[in-house]
Amino acid sequence: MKRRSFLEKFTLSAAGIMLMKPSFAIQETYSDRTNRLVILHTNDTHSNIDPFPDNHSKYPGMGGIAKRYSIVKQIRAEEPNVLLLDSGDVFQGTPYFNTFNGVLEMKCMSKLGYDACTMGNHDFDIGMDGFLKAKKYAGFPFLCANYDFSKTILKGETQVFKIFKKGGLKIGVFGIGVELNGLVPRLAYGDTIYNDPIEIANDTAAQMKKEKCDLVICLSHLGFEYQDNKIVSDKVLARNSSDIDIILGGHTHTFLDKPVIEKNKAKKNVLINQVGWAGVQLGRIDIDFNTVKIGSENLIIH
Amino acid sequence: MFFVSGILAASFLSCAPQLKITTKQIHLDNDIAADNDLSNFIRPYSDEMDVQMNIKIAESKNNFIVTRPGSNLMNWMADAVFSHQTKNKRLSQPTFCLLNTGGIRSSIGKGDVKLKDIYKVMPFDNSIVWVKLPLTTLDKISAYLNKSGGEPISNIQMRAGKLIFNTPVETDFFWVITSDYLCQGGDHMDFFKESIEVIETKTLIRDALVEEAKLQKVLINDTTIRIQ
Repeated sequence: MKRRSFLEKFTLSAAGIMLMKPSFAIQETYSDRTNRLVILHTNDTHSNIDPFPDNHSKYPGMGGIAKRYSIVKQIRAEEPNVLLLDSGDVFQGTPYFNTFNGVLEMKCMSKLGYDACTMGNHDFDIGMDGFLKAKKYAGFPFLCANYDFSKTILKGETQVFKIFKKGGLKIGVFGIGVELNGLVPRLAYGDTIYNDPIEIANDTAAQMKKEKCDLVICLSHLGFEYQDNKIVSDKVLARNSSDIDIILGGHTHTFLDKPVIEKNKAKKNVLINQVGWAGVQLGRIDIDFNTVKIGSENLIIH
Repeated sequence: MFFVSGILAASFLSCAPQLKITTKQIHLDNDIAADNDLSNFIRPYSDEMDVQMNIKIAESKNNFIVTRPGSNLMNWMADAVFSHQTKNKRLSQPTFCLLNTGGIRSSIGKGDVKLKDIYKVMPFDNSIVWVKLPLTTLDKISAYLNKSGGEPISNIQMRAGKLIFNTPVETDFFWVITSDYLCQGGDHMDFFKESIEVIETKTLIRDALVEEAKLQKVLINDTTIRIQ
């Protein structure tokens, strides 16, 4: 691994501070948190603007984007470095989508201050023209690395990746989508070219490391895991990756009790998380940049 | 990422606290207050939608859920589509109905069934198609159902991995009622590629479900596991 002089200093000075700290717990102040990145994330919200009804068999009264906003607001008041991300399938699932064609979802997510989103298969459900009309109301970028839209009306409408600067750190975020053939009607995705997710993810992550990103996050709509290991999932991607630190997944609507760790090609840790669907959960990952060393065996989740 | 060199890292980590990453899956339970500003922003949209969607169309005395290999909602949906099409007589009688479990997007709770509940169950604008298939594809459909673990079926059942028609056919073909999504290659139901003929009804699956729910008044609760 190449060393970054800035970060080396940063780390060492941080270590110095750590050493001066008493070993017992001390009251945390806002300034103590400036070296902490808080990643908040959702996936497969599927147009669930309202909470589930109270007579719902699985999630009575749960979810709701206005509740999600309360939590996001509260965390932003406490933490200076927050990223809010979504792993796709914003569209489809409630009559809000049928009535307003995805416009309300985009408007609400913009109000919540989402930083980035990737496209899920259902985000093609009203065709690329429908998506484009709704996207006008999105105050955040759509990151799609392995969908080649150059021959479609979405040309220039999405980005491969975006680098965020938070608390002196550079966080690279990119998006990886699922194979559309057999999942999305051909008419809806038109001349979109599907590129190999592992190859593109590795190329993109390597490029972001070159751009000196301190952390590389993949927003994935591949799905958490499949019985058939030939199907690329987040687990398969993690095992075959080199420079990805965190995969925030979607598509399989998987509820995880806590994030899962997989070893990458260099036997370094990759953290994978997914928070079910419909916005009944919000994932939170706090990374303390004073002490963290992602990609090492020392990575510990509490 | 900041990777200090191995030795530095080791010495650094040896004196560093163990806390590296803290994670939490925050549950959005009932006790969390909704943000007022956003609720107010959503309300006019919600009101406009409710005018169209909050119409009661039937009742439900049970929770209708989706679980493979079969469940009451899977049965209800396939039966409703099959029954709807059987009434709309065409040249032939349909042999059975096959839909997809992945296409049922919600459960239906006990109580009033409103138009919006049907929209949640079937949000897609997929329409009903009739597909004429050679009898030889039946084994392929069985194989598909065995592999997938179960899809909604009506007027047909599976026993010990083999499909048995409720209404036997004397021809070397049969008619399946399904969705245009599946017929066009969705969910990799590749046997539809062998179709002899396809009739597009242009009737939305959702519209058929709404009509059937209205006729039933109380949703028919059939919990038979049809795939065994």
